[in-house]
Amino acid sequence: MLRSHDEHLSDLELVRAMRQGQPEAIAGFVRRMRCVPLSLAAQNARLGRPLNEHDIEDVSQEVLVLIWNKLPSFAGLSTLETWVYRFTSFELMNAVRRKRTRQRVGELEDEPAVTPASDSRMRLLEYEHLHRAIDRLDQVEADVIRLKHFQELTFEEIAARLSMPANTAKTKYYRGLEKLQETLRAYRPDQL
Amino acid sequence: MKHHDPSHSALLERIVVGDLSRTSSDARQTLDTCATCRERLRELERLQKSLAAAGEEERAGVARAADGSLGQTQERRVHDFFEERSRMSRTRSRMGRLVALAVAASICGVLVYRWARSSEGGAQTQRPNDVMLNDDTQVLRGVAPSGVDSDFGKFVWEAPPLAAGKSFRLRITNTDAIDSDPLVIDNIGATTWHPGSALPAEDRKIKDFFVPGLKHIEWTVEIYSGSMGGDLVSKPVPASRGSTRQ
Repeated sequence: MLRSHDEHLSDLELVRAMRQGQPEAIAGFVRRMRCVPLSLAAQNARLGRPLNEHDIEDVSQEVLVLIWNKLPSFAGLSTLETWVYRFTSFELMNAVRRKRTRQRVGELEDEPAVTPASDSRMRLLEYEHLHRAIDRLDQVEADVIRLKHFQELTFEEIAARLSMPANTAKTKYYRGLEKLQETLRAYRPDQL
Repeated sequence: MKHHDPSHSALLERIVVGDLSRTSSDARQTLDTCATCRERLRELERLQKSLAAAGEEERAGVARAADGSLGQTQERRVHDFFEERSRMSRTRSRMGRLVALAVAASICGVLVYRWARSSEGGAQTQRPNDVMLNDDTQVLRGVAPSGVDSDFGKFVWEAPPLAAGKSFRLRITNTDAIDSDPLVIDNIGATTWHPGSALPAEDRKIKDFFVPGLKHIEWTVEIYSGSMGGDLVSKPVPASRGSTRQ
């Protein structure tokens, strides 16, 4: 679900107003954050429900705390829902890993073994792995790559969004890709 | 077979960002002859595909979440979390503002107090107007105390040179002691006085000048016709000052 640049900016305004304590903004932000449990439930379902309802509630709470702490860093380069999706995805994968570990050491003998659906698992692993590698890039290079592939913007649109010439955006993109490739070579995805 | 040349990177960049088709003659000429470029391009294109797939995964995931519906309990949980955090944040913010205001008020209070103290002292030590001496021939210009306030250690005043044989008489009084005798009466020729430079004991009457807790004094300077006294030839020129000494 793509949104326009104006909508991204309005999300940024919403976050700022919410942080200033404006009641309408808080209400609007809370409505938008319903996507947190929804996103976790949807991803958990795709993975074959390795986490039970109670686990999902715990992860949801962790994600809400994470979002609250990270709000000052929200730059409005994507919609709030997209920004939140990354946290939900990472935290869900972490929770599944933790649960598998506890099952391996025999802490959760009475629960069925966690066996995430392999295709979805690989997609989510790849997704997480790429984002974590992008996080290691220079901020501008990371922004350009995310805008190009996760927001599907053209270089001209990226240039306008980041206030730089289109050729600079292209150069940043290419250098970012090269660095990303190096990073991905060095760090392989964790096993789930 | 060509060897890889660093200049090939520029061509690879143009292909990867879409400025140059890989089927163009420039691209084909390089790619057909440079195995390194072919391999690098293959890797970069593979990475682009992975990124595109991750982007698709993200968009689909966001869309799936948007299609879902939330139970009342879950909705209430999200609502309560952000309401609570927001309220705590506002409380902290208000507390922060109150603390900042309190600090600012304290600073203002201290500044006002110091200003009041200094203006009080300033009023007392403000240079008086020029005073005509009794003989109307000399002007004792504004007499003002200076020196270290904390110990009344030094007294300085301005005056024109004294005529031969004349002297200043410095008189220092503790203003906090009612009807007390002067702490100091001293005849001197200079326009500076401090306790250490006092004249011989018989010419001065320092009565425990360093009175414990002495805070406020008045002092006057007069001019006498003789070096050790004689007739008063000027009106007393007063000044006073306070001390923070406890």
